[in-house]
Amino acid sequence: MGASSWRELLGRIIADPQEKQRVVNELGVNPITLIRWVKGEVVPRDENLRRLLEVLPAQREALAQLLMEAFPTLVVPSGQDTPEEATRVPAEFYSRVLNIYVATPPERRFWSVSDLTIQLALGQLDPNYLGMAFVIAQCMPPAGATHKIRSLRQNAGRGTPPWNAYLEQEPLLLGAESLAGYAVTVGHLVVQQSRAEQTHVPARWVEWEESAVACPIFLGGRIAGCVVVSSTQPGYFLPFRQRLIEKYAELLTLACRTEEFYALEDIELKLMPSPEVQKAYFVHYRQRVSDLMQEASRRQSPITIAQAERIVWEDLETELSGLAVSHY
Amino acid sequence: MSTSSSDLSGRKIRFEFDTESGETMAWLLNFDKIITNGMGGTLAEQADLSGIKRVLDIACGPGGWALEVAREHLEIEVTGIDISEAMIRFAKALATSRGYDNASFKVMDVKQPLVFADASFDLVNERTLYGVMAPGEWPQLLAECKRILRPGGIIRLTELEAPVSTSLALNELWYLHTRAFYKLGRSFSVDEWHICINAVLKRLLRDAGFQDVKHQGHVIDISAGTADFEGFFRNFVYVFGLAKPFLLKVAGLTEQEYERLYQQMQAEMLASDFCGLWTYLTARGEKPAEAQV
Repeated sequence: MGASSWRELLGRIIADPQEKQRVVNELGVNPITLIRWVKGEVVPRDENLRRLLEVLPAQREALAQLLMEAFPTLVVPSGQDTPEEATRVPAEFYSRVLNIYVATPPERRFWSVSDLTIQLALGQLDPNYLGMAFVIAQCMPPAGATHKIRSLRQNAGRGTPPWNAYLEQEPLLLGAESLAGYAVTVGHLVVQQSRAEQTHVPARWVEWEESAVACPIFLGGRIAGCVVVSSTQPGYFLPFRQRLIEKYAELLTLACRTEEFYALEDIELKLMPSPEVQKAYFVHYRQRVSDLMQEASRRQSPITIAQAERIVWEDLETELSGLAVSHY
Repeated sequence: MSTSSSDLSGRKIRFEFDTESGETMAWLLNFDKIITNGMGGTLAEQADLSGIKRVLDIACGPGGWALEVAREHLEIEVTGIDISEAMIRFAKALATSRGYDNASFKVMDVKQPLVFADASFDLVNERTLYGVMAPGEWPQLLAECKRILRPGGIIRLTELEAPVSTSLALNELWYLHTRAFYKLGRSFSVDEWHICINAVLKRLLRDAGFQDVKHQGHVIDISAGTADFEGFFRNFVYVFGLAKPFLLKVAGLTEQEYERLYQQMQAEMLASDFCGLWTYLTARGEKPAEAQV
């Protein structure tokens, strides 16, 4: 739930003792003063309100909106004072990801490129661990009677608390009901700044998620999937963070093989069952991958983990596609 | 884990990973995270951090531990050093992109005198240096650490032994690893099965003149179904993928034999009944208040 007033939002933020101490230190005010602001016993001076926006960059957009509602005459700076380093992907990052692309054996390329890129993106987008999930949802190969792409597989991801550090442990198929599916279908970045925002964009909000961005992974007009970034903070995805996500999505083109990019007309996503329904199907996902690899090894025709995973994903998509309508 | 080069018997052997490689950096960032989680935090055994303001991380790689200290403790100035210029450039870029002003990084060789003044730090940290350091090289490094610590300052060393697991292939690959280090003289062990660094850490610290030397073990559950299983699985895929050229050279396997083991390890670790434990040990000591440098 988004806060209904700036006092409520500030109260939530300083409920964390460490964060409260940080705010006190950076503002240079007494902790009692901060509590009086929250309780409404004292009205801060305008300069302190503007300083609050500076020391709470993650909540800046939401806080600025609430402050302007409460103090219509308050001059709120544009937010262009974000340090430049925080708004661009360092050249060093491009260099290292490119190095993986050229130096890593093809069977480890997706995994290594995506893993490094996600670690870099998560560190830059959520440096203070406010809570973020960054996942890749890749197009499943075309299948079914129409030979179209029916879903996206969420097969790589990391998070900061409250999300798990490793989101591969929560595999999922996403379809037309998802923000990821919508972004892939329309072919551009889409953002949802809060649960309260009324939009025509489909979204299946997950626990802790208060704002989200989905950005396609493009190559020459063809799409391999998209990244989905979720935050615990409403209004977190300021324009500079959206641009960063676009840049990281561009880097992720290096993770995918050329044949994994599809024309927009080949994408006809179906509705996929809810995560709760899918969970029962994915519970043995790793064991199935393991079984396939061990069986292939016994037959003296070993397969890589990537090959085994693809087979299991395709089987699961077929099983879940039959359920989609009745369990949505 | 180690990322360096070593001159052995007149041969220059790439030892054990390519420090310029993006994949090595991806692995080390992941490794730092899972080990820090497994140990309960960056400075878990330090009950009182009030006197810790200046921290040095030795052989910091891409800076995973140092950056986490910087994030958690805004009041601490943390410096990371590593012999690899590429690692230091990368660590600096990470710090800048995250806005961590209290983390800095410098190129420095831990086998040479450290370019810091006496009594510069309150705490010196190192993790998994065993592959870089021959047993006879530790005393000089520890003497340097003692010199740059203030009286009463703390040194903490964290090292590992091979994991025990229900995966035959993982165990075999680790045996190749310990055997390679034994052959190259980078092991404290009297046999090829162990590294034995954990057994000697306290003695190394006592011999270097540190006092109040203690140790704390960390037994990390790497079994299927644990919260960080994916991180450990990924770690071993990285390690034994990256170490392949080195292990092939030292262990005398064919490429086909190695690939078979590598695939088998992944299949066995993904099984729902996979179980494993990985043992780490942190030894810490204090520089005597009246220490002679």
